Amino acid sequence: MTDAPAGRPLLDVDGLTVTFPSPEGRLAVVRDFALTMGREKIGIVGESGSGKSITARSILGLVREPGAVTARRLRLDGTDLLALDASGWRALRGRKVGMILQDPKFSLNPVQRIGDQIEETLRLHERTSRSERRARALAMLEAVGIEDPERMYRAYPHELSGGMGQRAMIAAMLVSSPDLLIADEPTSALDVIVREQVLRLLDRLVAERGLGLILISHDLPMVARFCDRILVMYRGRVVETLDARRLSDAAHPYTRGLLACLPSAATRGRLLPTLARDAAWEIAP
Amino acid sequence: MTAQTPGTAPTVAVADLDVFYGEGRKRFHAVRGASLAVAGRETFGLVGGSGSGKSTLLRVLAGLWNSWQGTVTVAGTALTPERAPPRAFHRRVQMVFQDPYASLNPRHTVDRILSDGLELHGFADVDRRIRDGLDQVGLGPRFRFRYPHELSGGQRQRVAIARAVALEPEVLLLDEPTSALDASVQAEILNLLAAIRRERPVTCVFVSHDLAVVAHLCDRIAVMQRGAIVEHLGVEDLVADRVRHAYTRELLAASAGGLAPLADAP
Amino acid sequence: MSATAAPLSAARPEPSSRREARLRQAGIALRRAARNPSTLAGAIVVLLLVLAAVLAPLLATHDPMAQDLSARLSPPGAAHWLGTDQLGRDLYSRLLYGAQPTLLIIALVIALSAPFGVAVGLIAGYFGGWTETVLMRVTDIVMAFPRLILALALVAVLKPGLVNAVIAIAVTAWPPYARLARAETLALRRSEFVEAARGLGMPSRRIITGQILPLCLSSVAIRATLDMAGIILTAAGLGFLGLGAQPPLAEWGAMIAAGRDHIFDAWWVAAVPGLAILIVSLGFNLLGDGLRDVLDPKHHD
Repeated sequence: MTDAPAGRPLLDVDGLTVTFPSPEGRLAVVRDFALTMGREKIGIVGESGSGKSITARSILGLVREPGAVTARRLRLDGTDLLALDASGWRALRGRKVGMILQDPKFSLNPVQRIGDQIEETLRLHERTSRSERRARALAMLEAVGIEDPERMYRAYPHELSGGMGQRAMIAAMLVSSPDLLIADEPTSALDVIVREQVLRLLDRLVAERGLGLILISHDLPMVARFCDRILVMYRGRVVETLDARRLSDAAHPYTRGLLACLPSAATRGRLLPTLARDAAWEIAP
Repeated sequence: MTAQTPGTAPTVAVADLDVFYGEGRKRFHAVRGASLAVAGRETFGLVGGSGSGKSTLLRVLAGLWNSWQGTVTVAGTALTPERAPPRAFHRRVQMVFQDPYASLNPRHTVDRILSDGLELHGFADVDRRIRDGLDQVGLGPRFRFRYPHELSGGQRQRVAIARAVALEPEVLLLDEPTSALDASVQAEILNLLAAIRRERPVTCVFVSHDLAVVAHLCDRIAVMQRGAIVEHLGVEDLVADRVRHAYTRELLAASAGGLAPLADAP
Repeated sequence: MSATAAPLSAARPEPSSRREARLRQAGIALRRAARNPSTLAGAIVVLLLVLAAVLAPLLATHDPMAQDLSARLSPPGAAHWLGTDQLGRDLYSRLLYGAQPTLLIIALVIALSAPFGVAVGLIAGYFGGWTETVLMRVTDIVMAFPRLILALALVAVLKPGLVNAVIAIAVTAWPPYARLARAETLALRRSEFVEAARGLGMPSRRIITGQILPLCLSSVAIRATLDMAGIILTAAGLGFLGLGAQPPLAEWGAMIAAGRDHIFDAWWVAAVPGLAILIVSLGFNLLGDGLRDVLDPKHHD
């Protein structure tokens, strides 16, 4: 699943720049982002404010005014995203790209049953009968490891734990079989054990369905365990691209700093190395 | 490692603690029969998943939750259920909260946030203590008259720590103080906590769901699951893999997963 | 231990006292408010109302009480800019002086009802339990009465007059503040900074006044500004029914009532105070909406 299929890539981004107005003129929060990916697992890692979430939003056409997105190339499975109008974006979202956000408490509609929310994308994008939609929603809930899909189907979001909510969210995003799934900090609101379960589930589903996945997180070791390639972002710019299995080869001082500052039993009684930030990291190499 | 010195009473002692939320039929049993003892100057870790009752237990120790049964002694004060502890108790026992975006009043300057507690407990030379406190947490005087929204997450957590430490407490309760922060900022805050511990004799209870952080900081650990303490262990047991309870194993596998690829994990 | 850069431009000097920090925040809010044209329009209208009330003796061309039966019901013109009423009194001058009772009623009603309502809501929200149940049921009961009807009944009992109108309106005006303050308090009571304040050993009274109240104030200010439009209308309603300010005092509601008899042959007698009420209540509404944009943290990033 690591190499892109011969021919056109799933996602092809070049020169993506996102700016917002500020008193000192337009401020670039993402600068010259480039990524060509097939049906593989890409990790985007960075601290808060690194521009990793805005990058994902711009691929989904979700950057709102007064933000402005420009790019030399922005193509998803052959479709030129730069030429899309509002209805084009709507047709794309859910159908071709799904997005999972940090906290299911905020991304699920609190007054709608889980089953209805999963069927929503099917209603929007496909001509399906009611019974077919229900059958697919239930199958999807089973696929995300819910033991009693019927009960989950009727449940409201507030009745679910964080882990269950995130499973429901994944089900809602995958039910219409998108080609690309973007997960923005999907596990940072969960405790470690549930995080592990959700990650395994994502891993299995992505492999089974042959999806492309962009996993966004501040947790470098977690992303490294999960992805094939890692893009490390710092203040809006990709400072390093890594093979996830060769994390120790990281050359950029920022990446090395992120790895070195992690606590463990081995660092007991010692001070942790902290990042000495260098203004040069913000300038293109 | 700091086993209790015989003869001295533990600084934090909890026996057969049950904690409840709500009333009547909706009453929720958040902590079930928990017992633990933390010696003076020790750093004790309380680990568990969400809903394990670890934060609830910490709130009881802080005197912020009164609906419980059992015996709780903190910094020489025996707490009484259904009754708020005396004001002086709070001078000796301070807490740092999880979310630095929520634990500072958005309408108060850093100066006000720090001076409130100092004035309340009748400290003299409040002005000097605020300046020293800001220096100690690595912020310095220029942050004194800023509002929380003018600070980053790490800076806010430094202010919250300064607020707690300013009262020179005997016991410092830490509720996942780094889980909302980036890794590099987490390292800075953990270093700050280590520096504070070196400077003054303070007993810490550190709550987290991340065994890696707890192993870095703590001497002994209690693991909580669904309101009960399922295992007590020393950090050296953790390192040497002398873990008995299945839930602790699971926690260990998930948090110290380290660099093992997911596919190779059991 | 290096702290990360603050999300602030480093060029500005840091404030060196609480007062300076507060003034700077106020300046930022003021600049944001001034950028919105409708807020500005609302503020100008309200400012004009205040100026009219304060400077009425200087700006008026006639004595507002002086009758001139020979010039009764004269249309707007050079002698009387906005015409005269059925007793030949100058409408322009009466309009200016009429701003005084209007402003007085607004100020007194807000000064009586808002603090009372906020106090009820804060106490109910913070302490919960029986305290909350009792306080909020009383609030609901008062709120269940139609406002003007309750005010009418109260004035009828108390005898008509300006002061009694104020009392009557204040009695009907406080429940929304109680509800608002309770809702805000409920959300804030469980917040970590209130817990942190309790953890410092702060007594409840100080938590309510020092931690929670300041955060309620902006929504109370918004509510009060929007409420002022309603108070003007209620006061005018009472005046119109003869239960507010008593003649010969110039009061906009009473002026409309007097103009009602001549609405077809001398429309200006009713229209002039009517338009004034319309413009002033619109002004307060615009200002209130603008304040919401500036002050309410939920309405901007």
